Amino acid sequence: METLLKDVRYGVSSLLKHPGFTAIAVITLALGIGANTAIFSVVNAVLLRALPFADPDRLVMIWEDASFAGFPRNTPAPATFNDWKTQNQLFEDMAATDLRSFNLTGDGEPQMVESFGVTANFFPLLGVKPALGRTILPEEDKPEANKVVVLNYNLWQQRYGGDRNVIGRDLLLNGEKYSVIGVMPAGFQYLDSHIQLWVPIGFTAQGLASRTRHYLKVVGRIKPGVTVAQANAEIQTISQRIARDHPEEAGRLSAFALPLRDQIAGDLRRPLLVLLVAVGFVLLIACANIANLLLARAASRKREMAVRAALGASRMRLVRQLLTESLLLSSVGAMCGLVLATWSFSFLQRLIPDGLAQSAKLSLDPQVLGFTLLITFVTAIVFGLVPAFQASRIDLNEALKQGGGRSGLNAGGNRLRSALVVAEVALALVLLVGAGLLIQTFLKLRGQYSSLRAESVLTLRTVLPQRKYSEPRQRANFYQQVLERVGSLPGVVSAGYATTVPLAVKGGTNGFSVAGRSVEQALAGGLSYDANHRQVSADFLKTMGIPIQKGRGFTDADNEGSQPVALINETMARQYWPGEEAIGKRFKLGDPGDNEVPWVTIVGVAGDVRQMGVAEPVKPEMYFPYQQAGEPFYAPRDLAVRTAGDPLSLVAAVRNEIHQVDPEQPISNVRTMAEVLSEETASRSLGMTLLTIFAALALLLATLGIYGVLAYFVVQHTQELGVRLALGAQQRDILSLVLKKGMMLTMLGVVLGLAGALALTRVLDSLMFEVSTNDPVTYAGIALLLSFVALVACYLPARRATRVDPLVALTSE
Amino acid sequence: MSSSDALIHLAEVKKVFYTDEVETHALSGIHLDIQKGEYVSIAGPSGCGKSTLLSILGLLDTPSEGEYVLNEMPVENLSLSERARIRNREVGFIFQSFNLIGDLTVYENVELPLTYRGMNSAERKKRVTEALESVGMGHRAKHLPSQLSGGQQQRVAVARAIGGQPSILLADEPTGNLDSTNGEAVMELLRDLHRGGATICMVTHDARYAQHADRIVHLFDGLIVEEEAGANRRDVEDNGRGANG
Ligand SMILES: Nc1ncnc2c1ncn2[C@@H]1O[C@H](COP(=O)(O)OP(=O)(O)OP(=O)(O)O)[C@@H](O)[C@H]1O
Ligand SMILES: [Mg+2]
Repeated sequence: METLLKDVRYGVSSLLKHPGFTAIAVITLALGIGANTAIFSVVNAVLLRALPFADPDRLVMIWEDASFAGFPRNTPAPATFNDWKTQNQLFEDMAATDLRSFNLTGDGEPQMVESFGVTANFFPLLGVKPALGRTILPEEDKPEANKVVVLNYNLWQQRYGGDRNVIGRDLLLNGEKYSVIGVMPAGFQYLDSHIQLWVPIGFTAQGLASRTRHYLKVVGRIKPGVTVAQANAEIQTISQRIARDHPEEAGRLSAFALPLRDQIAGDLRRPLLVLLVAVGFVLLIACANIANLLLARAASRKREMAVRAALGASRMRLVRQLLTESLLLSSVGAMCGLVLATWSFSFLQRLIPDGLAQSAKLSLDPQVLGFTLLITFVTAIVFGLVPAFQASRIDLNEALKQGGGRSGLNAGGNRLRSALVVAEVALALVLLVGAGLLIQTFLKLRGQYSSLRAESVLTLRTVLPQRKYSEPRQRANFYQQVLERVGSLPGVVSAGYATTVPLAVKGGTNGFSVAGRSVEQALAGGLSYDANHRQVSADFLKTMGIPIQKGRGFTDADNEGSQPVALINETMARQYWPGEEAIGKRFKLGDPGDNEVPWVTIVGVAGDVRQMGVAEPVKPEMYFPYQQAGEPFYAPRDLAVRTAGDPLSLVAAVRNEIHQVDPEQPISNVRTMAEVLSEETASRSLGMTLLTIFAALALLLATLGIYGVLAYFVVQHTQELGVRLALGAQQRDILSLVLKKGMMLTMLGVVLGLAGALALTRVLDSLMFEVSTNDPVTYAGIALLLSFVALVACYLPARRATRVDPLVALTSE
Repeated sequence: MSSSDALIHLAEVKKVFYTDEVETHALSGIHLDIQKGEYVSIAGPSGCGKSTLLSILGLLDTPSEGEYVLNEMPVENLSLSERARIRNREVGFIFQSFNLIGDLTVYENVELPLTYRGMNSAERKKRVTEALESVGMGHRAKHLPSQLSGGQQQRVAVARAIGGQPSILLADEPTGNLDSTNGEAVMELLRDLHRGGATICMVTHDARYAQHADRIVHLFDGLIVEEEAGANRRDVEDNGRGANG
């Protein structure tokens, strides 16, 4: 113990004696350990910490598998849910939810709120108690029951000031009266973080019997001791039975159970592990750098060590002393790293998936601190052990050697230092290639939307209250007036209304039947006759930048009085009329025999937009003039405005025009189309940014490593360089000698790094989009970039080498 | 200026070093001519400026004042790269501590100055082989310097100095790191070279070796205080003698 204290005291004074070295080492370690702590804290919050539900490992999502139609995770219809729920043996319970938007009015500002309609067993199944009041009773989950609502904590705080008397109060949702029965605790969320309230789902007998309206999300709790695989098998058995009994509606559907954790965080597992590996690499490079600095010091500490050895210190004693110094360094670095990590939390919070956004906050909890402690120790050993042994190896022979083989004096140390630099370069290259691939992918993803010129499109949402706008005429009147007023604002190029702008809502589909094709014929083709339903104003496609590829677009002449028409996207044309001319063909929504619904004629084909997600396949989509469309469910809500200048500068003016038409109309989701895209790519963008930052850090450290080794080489070889100059070497000879030495190490690192990248970037496969993980351009570009940076790093010491005074050749030490 | 056809002509050469506000007058007005084929040795107490004089002769350093004509060309004000070029072609150095480059083989060490000259490899090979043969080290071409004795290393250094067939060989205490047997051998080598026509300027403490030269120049406090003929010099036809001030 006493010797340990002595070691520490001696270590501190030894580190303080070399403030430059100590500062560089501490900064490097702080960055390395800080980055590891930060990323681990995300991994911990997303992948390791328990979900905030009772016994969360028994919770699973149950999805319909409609892979045949391109939807491997499809929302089941109520009848399917009912079959799963009543026919299983292995589940304790199953609950269903659907998504609902409401205009919240009746007390203060009208406000758009997102909510889940839930079955009464939803809250008990999750095992979460309300903070206030109670949750939904089975008798309230009936269509004819009095309407009740459970609020989330934030809405309660913001709109009702946390008033406990809110229980029992009435509020208006889409103009209907609901009474508040409960408030959920802070941080409670299930899937979507934007959900602000929950209402009973209230299936009608008819609704529950539907096998064609696929809109439910189902969560189940499996019985204790039952594995997910067993639950899965049972669900599949039931779904086979359903398929057999209802071949028309469900003949090709299957189903599966997915652990809730995978549902919420599954997509993030890969990116997070990639980031964790990346910061691991950064830390390794940092260790290599510090080991190099220590090796250089070891050479100059030979004397000190010799004296201590002469005084009777054993080799182990010397090694321990040196390792104590390393541990001191890494501990100070870790403390600074913890500060850095805490700073990064607000930024990294965006890496938390939406499904955990409310419940998972980043913090330095015991797990994270334990991890930091562990890597602090490991780091100290990794960078300290070899230099410690090197420094404590006292070889009397070496001191006697003289003359000739001067550079042989430290050859062992030099080889090690060179090897470390090669490794640093290789690791940095792997990270750079990874970052390059992600950047390429990101650009490809964004590039798909370049024709939209999304940065000059303003979008906002006006959900027309059903009570107030029950008649199609009333709605049409609103759209018409708003479009006219907004369209004539200065700076507005065009304006259009649609059910939704691309990506804002994914889905909203309708089944349809093609004229002249019987149900049997249709099913024989193996397709689900199902497409996105969009009601649009005449100028919407033009405003959004979606081109008409064939035929014509809509005009104001396509109205209530004219022949019903539709536009379809290219995917729909290709899927349902392959090798045929789609224009002129007719189809109708729903059953062919339904005489209430008119046949519509296709008049044009619109360009595809990846509307289901930036990397999701394009879904068939059909557009109808809103004046002709019956389904009020799909009535236009999103206004798109193409502007000449900055779209956001028009927000106030557009708002004003809308309120001129209807002063009470709530307006929500105000953002540019570019922001919609950014939101869609936010987590990719963050992952890419982080990997790029870490790769840049790795590059910086590796560059410093090259610089350090070469600078040391020049100092060590001053005499030799002087001799070469005395023998008539030109400055360029010396320059190229040193550059060659540095670039040899670099190239070796680059080659190893390329091989490593080829092997390792395969883990990025699932994150790629239209970019191969073997993309030769990326590899070549990165190798060039790294070589160039290394060349610059080599140039400085090389430059210094040319300034060596040839006179040193005459001095013999 | 008495002899314009001398290989080396120094007139009123001074060298002042400035360190920490201290001026050191290492050379205070040197006049020295060295004729082609002459063997000059420079003697004097430690710190009198011998190495400084040699470094100026070898264009490793520039005089603070005075004029230096080498091979009929004034060289005191040349650019760095010009000086490197002349060093490479006109001067051969032999150092006290051999200064062979440890990573390079004997062959490569001798080849190095020729490489800097941009000579083609066939020519280099011929010259290197000749030079190594002439110092009796041909059989050690593939060895590393650390595998040779001190005397052998210095012979390789001599080979490196003569490989480029320079106008003058400059040697600073070439026997300083050698025992007397090896020292003798290296001195014998220089004498042989001189007999073959080489011009040599050598700094030495050792009076015995100084006597090998045609002429011994005595330095004291940066000035030439005395010149004498070497006792053991071979008889040469009179080339005329360098003047000094
Ligand atoms: N680079 C330098 N900077 C400052 N002073 C120098 C430098 N080189 C030499 N001197 C000084 O110039 C004087 C002459 O030095 P020089 O090395 O020529 O002596 P020397 O005759 O070769 O001595 P020795 O026999 O010990 O080698 C000395 O006083 C020395 O301290
Ligand atoms: Mg000297």
